[in-house]
Amino acid sequence: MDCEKFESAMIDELYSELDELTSAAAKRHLAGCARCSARMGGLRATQRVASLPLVEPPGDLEERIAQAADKAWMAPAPRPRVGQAISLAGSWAMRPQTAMAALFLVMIGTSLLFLRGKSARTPMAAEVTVTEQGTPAPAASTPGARVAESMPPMQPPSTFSSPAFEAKPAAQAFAVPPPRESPAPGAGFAAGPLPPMALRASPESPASAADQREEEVPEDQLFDSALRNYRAGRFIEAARQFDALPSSNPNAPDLWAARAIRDGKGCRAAVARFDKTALRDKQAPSGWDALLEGALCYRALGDFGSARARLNGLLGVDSHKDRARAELDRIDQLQQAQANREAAALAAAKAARAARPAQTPAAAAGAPAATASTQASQGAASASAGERP
Amino acid sequence: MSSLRSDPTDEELMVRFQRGDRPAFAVLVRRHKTRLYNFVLRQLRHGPSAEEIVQDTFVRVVQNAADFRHASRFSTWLYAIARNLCVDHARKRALRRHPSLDDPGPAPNGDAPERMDLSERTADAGANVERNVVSSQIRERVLEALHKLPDDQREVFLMRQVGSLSFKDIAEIVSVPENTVKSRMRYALEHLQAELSDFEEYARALR
Repeated sequence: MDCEKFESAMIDELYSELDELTSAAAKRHLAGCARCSARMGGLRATQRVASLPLVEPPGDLEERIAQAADKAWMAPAPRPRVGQAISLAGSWAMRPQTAMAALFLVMIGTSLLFLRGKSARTPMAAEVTVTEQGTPAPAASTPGARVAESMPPMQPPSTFSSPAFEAKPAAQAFAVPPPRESPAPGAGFAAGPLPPMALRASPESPASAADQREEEVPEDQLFDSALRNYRAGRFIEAARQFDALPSSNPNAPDLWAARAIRDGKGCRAAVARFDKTALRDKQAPSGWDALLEGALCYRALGDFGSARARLNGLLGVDSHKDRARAELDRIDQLQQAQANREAAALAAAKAARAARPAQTPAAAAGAPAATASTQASQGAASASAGERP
Repeated sequence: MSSLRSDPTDEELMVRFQRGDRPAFAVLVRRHKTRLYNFVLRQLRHGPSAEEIVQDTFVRVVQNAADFRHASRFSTWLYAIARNLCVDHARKRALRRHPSLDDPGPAPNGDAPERMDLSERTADAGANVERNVVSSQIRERVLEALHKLPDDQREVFLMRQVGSLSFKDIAEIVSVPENTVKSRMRYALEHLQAELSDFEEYARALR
């Protein structure tokens, strides 16, 4: 090794980043070259002197960091910060992934708040009681729902306290007695869509026995049964069965449960379930479907911001980006239409006010007309905002 | 995943944290806060600002946890964030043009530059008095010499000496070839050597 080669290897040797062979060659050169040896010695001494002892930060810094981190954990990352973080993290951040990541942080934060102290399954169970009074129209028309109405009310609050996500006390949480044979014989069960259960279920069977039998049913059959119920419009029953399946089941029962809740009880009840599925099944088709369908529900509820956030997250997913784009365009149209209506209503009100001073009787007629048209516009706006996907 | 090692790696802790294990994050903080604090302090020369940047760095780790790609080392990512915050801070400070912070002389206000704070706890605390006095003098000179370095040399020097990052990782952070990083390191050492030449002999005698 000559002086030139040593020059280029000097720093590596100083910081022990040379491989054994090259390091040995460097050392050999040093032993025989006074100039390089002096140079190396100078740098080594400088390195030693300049290696100042570490200063301890204030004792409370760790605590302050923990508190700031807690706040950051729970708070949604606002858009400007996400942009900042992208530039800060340099090549580590990629736009579509960042949008998705920021979205998941929001969903983690909001879902933790939403599901605290309750099992994720029990909102459905609790609402079974509620819907006995006011079952949504589609479900009410099905025999399954009628049978549900005949069931005794729900109970055990103790089940509600189990933590949200991993609780699978499916059979226990729904100590809902099996659909009894109602006076309308064979109502929802005539077609025999529930093979083992329907055959074995009898008016006299106790709740626990039927639940046990449901647990014994092979997962495939339970899923098929749930799907049949769903397609037949028996959404509550379908949701109950989907929830009885383990989340690990490859048919994405959580996603189907969310769909069944959406179709049986509406979007407001379903969005939390879609979000939960999206979080659990990240990077999986069922998760992306959950994001998409959750977004459509948010849009139906008029929450365009949440809808956009989810659809934006999907723009980076090959299988979903076209659909996401199309649905985002649809939101643009809806908001534009809404803005137009509001502008039109304002203009109408203005015109009415302008017409007022001319004639008093006309003014009296004009004002209510203006109000009526405003109300009609607002009604139209909210109606379209509430439209179902 | 069970491991025969008693201490999880940074990357293992990040995986756990990404899956919701918040105590894993606290371990990462404890592991890295001191070196990170020193890395920032040696550049900003202002304790409170350094504390703030360290805190902001870890907050960004939380906010962007899902972004962390495990092909990179955690420390590389961590120092990249801190480094960018330092650059932003320096830019803002230049815009404000605070003479008291840039002036190497004694600061009239309460925010004394860190080099004036001789009460900082160092590893030398407890050693004999003369050694402490000399150490303080050396320390002052080193900090002065560091301050005189060009920014790009100083940050490479600190990432290596304080952060213990490899030259390869440093190259990733500052987005230059590895050879450039090594050149900057050599220049930094040579500049420091020129500044500290009269201390060299004494320093060698102390070791």
